[in-house]
Amino acid sequence: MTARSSLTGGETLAAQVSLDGLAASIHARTAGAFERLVGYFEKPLFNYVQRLVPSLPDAQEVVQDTFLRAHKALTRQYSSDRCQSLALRPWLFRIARNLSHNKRRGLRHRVECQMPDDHEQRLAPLDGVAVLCTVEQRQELERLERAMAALPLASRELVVLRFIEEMSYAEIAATTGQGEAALRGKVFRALQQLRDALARQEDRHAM
Amino acid sequence: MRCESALLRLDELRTGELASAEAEAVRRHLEDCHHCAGANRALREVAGAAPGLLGELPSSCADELARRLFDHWSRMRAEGLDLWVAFSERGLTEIVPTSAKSFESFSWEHARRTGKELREDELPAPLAEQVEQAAAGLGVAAPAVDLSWLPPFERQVLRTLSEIPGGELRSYAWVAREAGRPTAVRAVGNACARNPVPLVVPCHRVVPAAGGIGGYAFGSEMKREILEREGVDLGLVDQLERRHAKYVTVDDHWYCFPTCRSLRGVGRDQIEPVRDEREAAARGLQPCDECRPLELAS
Repeated sequence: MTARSSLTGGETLAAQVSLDGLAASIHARTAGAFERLVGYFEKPLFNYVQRLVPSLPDAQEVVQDTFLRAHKALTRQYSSDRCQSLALRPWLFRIARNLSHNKRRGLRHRVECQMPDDHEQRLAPLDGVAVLCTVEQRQELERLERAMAALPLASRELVVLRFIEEMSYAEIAATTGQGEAALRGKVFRALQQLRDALARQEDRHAM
Repeated sequence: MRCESALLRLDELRTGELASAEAEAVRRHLEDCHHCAGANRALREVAGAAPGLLGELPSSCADELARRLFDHWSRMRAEGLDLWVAFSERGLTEIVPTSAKSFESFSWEHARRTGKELREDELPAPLAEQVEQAAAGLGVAAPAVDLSWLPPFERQVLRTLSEIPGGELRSYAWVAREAGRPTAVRAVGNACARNPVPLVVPCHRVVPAAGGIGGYAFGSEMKREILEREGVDLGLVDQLERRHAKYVTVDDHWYCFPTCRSLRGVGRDQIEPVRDEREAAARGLQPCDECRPLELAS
């Protein structure tokens, strides 16, 4: 398996440049700029939030609120200088992260809800990809998703940000508010936990 | 390099984020250390498979966001009036004469009041038709307006206004009673004054109990003109005002608002003024079933 080059590759760098301009164009209320932001980030944000909150409707709500907050901040609260220098991706993910935590906190007060919930729901997003892959690949992904659900929240979040969203450590640090050096260790441990969870699944299969 | 520091660098070796000297050191370590090489293979396996977990969206929130964040605007002419019109896909949200506000203050205040920014768009024909009909004095039976952004009481008042039949006038106290808050007359006055969709929601059909025609977003002259187009007998209204009469009676049994439809076709000489609810009660008159004038609180 070759290492994916998108973290440092030209493609992402180019995207980053156009995204930097995006915050400023939303600030200037350029037609279509906000739609471009939504089009670009809705899927990655949903993918992230969906693994932080208990249900898909909750995730959809959080993603929507994230964009509402972002729009308000960019158009009404931030100066154009601040928009110019804003690192859009970690900023958006951080809003989504905070809103997800609020969501879970609110839900905990109302009903006792167990965090990793039924697998069926969690696997639903895989239906979209399933068309493109073989049965084995699909089973492999389901296995991985189940193992992810078994991880503690903090670890699961890091796996999403680092291995699905493919953020750099600096971006993860900006998203979660943790130090870069500490994150290296935490990502490594999250990965170990993921491998353990996968191994446990296999044991269960074997029995 | 020790295993510990090598393991923490494997991930960045994978993505090429590691500085070349460091990367070289890690690679050398991997050649010697089976344990770390195994960890590296496992890491790459998971990292290679993980992006597959990026599922499709069940549904996009883009449309809902557009609904929550933006209204549309257009400029139109109706019966000689030049208007800024704001609307959502649910209906009209604001009608403002261009003579009253510049576009900047119209859009700024719209954003402040509704929390939505304005984007230029073509006014849908059914909405334009409503504005034209209202300006022509034809009345709008079911106004297509989106008042979801207003406080509940103001919304209730505007709903009540839409129930006043064309060609008739009511007092603020009547609207307050019909809206379920009989003492909130002043608040009704404020709500009417702030009516975001004049013409279409007929705030012009409410006049002060003290007489006169009252103010209007397009000026009192325009208010008179629209009422005349709607068929209100303003001559009678003025005549009664001079005699300080709120109501009238024709048969000494019922009393009505002077513009009540039950009086259509009745000659002006048969109409007898009734000063207020107190006089009506003193004369033993009953409130008309059609226009439901106010009654003296017993």
